[in-house]
Amino acid sequence: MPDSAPPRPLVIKVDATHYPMDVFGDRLISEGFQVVKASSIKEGIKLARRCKPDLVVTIDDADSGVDAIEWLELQHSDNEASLAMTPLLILADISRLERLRVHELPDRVKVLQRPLELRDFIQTAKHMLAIWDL
Amino acid sequence: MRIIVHTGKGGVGKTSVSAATALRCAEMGLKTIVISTDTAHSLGDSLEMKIGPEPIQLYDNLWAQEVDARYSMDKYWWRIQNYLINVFKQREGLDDIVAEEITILPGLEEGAHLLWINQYFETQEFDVLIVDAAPTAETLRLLSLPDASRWWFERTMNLMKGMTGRLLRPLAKPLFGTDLPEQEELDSVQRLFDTLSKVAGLLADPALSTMRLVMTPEKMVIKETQRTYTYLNLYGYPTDSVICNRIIPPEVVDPYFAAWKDSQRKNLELIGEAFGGLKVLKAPMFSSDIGGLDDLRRLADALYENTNPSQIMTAEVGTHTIEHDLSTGDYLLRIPLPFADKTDLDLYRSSDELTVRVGPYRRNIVLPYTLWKLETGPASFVEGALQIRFVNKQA
Repeated sequence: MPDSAPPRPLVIKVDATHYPMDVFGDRLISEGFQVVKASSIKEGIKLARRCKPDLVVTIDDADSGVDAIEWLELQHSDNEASLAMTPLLILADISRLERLRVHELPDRVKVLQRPLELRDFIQTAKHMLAIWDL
Repeated sequence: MRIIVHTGKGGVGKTSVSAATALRCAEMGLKTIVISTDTAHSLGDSLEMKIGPEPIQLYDNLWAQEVDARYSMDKYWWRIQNYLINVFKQREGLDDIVAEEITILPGLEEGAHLLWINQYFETQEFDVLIVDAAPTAETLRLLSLPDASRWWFERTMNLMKGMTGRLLRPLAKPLFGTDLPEQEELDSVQRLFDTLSKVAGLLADPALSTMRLVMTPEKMVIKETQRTYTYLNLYGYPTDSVICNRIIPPEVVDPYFAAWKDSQRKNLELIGEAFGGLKVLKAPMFSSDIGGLDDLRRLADALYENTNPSQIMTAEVGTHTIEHDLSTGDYLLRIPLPFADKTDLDLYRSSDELTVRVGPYRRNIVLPYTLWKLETGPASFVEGALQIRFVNKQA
């Protein structure tokens, strides 16, 4: 009998922070998402081209070398239209918000300020994919 | 590195004390992180800053984190549990509910807090780690997890690992209606339990860790704190002080508070007698809720004056000891259990393990090899300590 369960939304998470426990990734999995992890921008773009995710989550963190602006530029200018249009959720420090110029970002890009409540994170991710809790 | 765990009954001011202690350590130049393990996080309110599930730097030398209580510690455990449920149902004829109940490992979800403690110990990033723990019952469940889990680990994982597992693997589905968990999953659970055991060792090391009991001078609170102290001793976690919070200051002369002040005075005497061996730190009741740096500094001044809060407050802290009687060859195991009621105490042993139960809590003490072949002699309860003699019959 074919599996009638709907496909789980696929998220690519670009995260080079040094915490061994993946709080955000694990919460996404527990909420029913499939999560593929990349530890650098280069790896993330390669994975995104191959997997065609429903959503990309980037942990913008200057110390670990993942710069959301760099990701945004690469994703936006990608030759593959599907990647260029993939929703992007950026988790950024307050110190980086000004640089991100949040009010100029396209609708498909959302920014959440770290530290954040996991509940807000999941709600935003679901909202971006039009998944509603009933 | 020093680890300080503040625990106590709900509403006694653990979070304010933790925040004030962390701020004082940071302002003394010690790189400090304060983590909250209470599901009802209020550390952010106390420090008047937004804190999340990752560590965040708040000020010079001060980091904070509100650990995610729903962290998926059990992400591999559920498959193993599923397998065990089926084994128990098929082999032992248990019904669904009973099978499910006996395969639940209590406190596993909260164990995430222990994993963070291990991480900070491994990285040695901080000089001081302060844990604002959940109310007593949850904290005790958390602290007893490494002990409870070892029982599980040894008895259930053996079913699935090694030769038995390899032989059973092809038969598992037809016999039990489910596949055996993969080796990788079993290894992950093994690593998880290894880490839990390691954290228990870290928290039981008096040179590294300290439990501090926060209370208010009220009879009910004192009673519960005494019980907590007993259970912490049972698990070998060293307590170096009690923190008595919200004492009505002498300058309050309003007759409305007279009876209350009198009762607090009597209860403070009781605390001094009951916890005689431990240093008692005192903080006054403030005229409003504690919040923000200035209030926290005032609280830290009251508690620590000019001293360093990360230093050990009481030199001799109770952990279990083993003495060798050279004249007879006997050994005497001594477990301090202050306030324990001996009628509510059980003791039994297998060859290599001694199980002590006090109230609802049970501890398995792995005996050193030298005691394995010795017979258990008389046990007695003397001056707040359980003493068990291991008799050398060959002497």
